[in-house]
Amino acid sequence: MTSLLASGTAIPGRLEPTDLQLKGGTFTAVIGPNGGGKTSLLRALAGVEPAMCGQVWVGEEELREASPARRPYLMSFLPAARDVPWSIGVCDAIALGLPRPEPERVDELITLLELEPLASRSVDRLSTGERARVLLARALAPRPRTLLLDEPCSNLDPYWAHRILEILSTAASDGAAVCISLHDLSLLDAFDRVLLVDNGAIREDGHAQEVLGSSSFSEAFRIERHGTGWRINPSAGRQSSR
Amino acid sequence: MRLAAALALLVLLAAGALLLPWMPLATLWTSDPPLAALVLFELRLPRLLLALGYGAVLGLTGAALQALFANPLASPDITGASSGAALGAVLGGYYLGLTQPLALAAAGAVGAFAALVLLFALAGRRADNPTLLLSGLAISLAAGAGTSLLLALAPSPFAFYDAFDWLMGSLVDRTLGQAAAALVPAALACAWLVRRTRAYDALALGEDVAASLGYRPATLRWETIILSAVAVGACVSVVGAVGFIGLVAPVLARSLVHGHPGRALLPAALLGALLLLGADLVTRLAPVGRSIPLGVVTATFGTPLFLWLLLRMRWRLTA
Repeated sequence: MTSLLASGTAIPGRLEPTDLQLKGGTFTAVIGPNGGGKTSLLRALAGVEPAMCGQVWVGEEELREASPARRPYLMSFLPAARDVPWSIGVCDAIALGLPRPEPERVDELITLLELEPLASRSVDRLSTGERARVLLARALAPRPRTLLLDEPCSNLDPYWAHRILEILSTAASDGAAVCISLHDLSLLDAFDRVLLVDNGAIREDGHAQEVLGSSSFSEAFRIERHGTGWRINPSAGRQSSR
Repeated sequence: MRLAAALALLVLLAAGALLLPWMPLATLWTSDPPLAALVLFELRLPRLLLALGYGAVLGLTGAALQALFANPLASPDITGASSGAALGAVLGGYYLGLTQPLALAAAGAVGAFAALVLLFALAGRRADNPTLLLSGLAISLAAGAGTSLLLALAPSPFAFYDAFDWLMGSLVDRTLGQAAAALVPAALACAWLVRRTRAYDALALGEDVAASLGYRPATLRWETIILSAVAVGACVSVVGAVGFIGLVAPVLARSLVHGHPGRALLPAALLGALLLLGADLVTRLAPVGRSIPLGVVTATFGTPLFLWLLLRMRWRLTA
């Protein structure tokens, strides 16, 4: 299975130099407070941030050196923004993720994400949640070795939030390195690994319960465990913002 | 099928533009063949080539600019590129002493480039409609005022009179040399833009997705701005600014290719050529006693289409 390896990956002013390995077959969550650097980390790992430094490798291949014919198979990135300004059909939008036409793969994803009733519509006419499923299908289309998804469960109803975690977990089981950011802490048990990002750096890296019980977590989120839920950490100071 | 029909219509109109009105040409051919050939190749052919080429340039660069700004209202005229090109050509022609068509084309390209860079600085990468329209309007007004001022203060007292036809857009009395000066650089620039079809399609889902698919949005941005400026600037320096075709042709073209902004480039070129050729035929054949300026015809047909587009966008926003 192929791993993603980041070496000295940084974004000046937003993300400190980071060395990280995401192993194939592992399902990883990135959590952190608003403005903590989750999106910056994912954008840097995906190689889409113009100001980034350092290198990202997928297997033996440096990500930013890969051609448009090759790169979709190495990594898919799903940004948090869901806007599509053009009237592109659902099937065509999914096919944009594929370097060459594969209608069978598009049909497979339409079925997987239950998009059949929307297949004849254009993406700019869908609700935000529906569009999120189409854009996720686009990211899954080339069966990439690495999936980096920024808040794929936002704007989704509970069924779809859980269903998408299930689909992504299956992709990880099939050998992909899957890494997503999310805010819903109740979903963390579905992950093999959790990264806590705050102030532009990875502060904790471990299993969900280890990270949730850490002092870094309490400082970053300014909440702490209370019975089966959470309460505001009375000793937490004001949140810093980069 | 619809594209094939458009292509067939284009060929038909092109033949018509070359041969109509055919009666005087046929008479001349029997009495004075060299003169008939002169009319055909020195008068009608440059006009036909410029109509086809400039229309295609407007359609294609309009599609590229719309894909770049992720906005269906972007076009060479609305972004101020055409006005900037006119300003550049007037500055080059009346103040820098440029007389060669290629030098004037270069001056036009520099003016269009300056306008597009300014627009990009003002409106940003994914420009929303009000910002794009207001920025483009400001640049067009400033460039238009600058052009008028330069003509008013020009060393030649007849500058305004000389430039009137050109300012309104005109294909009349252009030489093959002028057509070549406009169309050769424009064709090279457009060919380069067509190579970016897949990148523009990827850009439909945002710069981050395009970058993640292996394209380079920053490079694409500069390529689009520079190459559009070269193509539009070269054509404006010879024909003048012609409105609406760069706006309308890409909108119609996208409806033929399932909304893909990149795949619309070549159909937009085809439709742009068709529209400008049709507009030129109207200026020549309309029974009003004298020829109508080209810009007036494109504006007459383009304004209702532009309003329809605005209403459709408003309806989509409120639906």
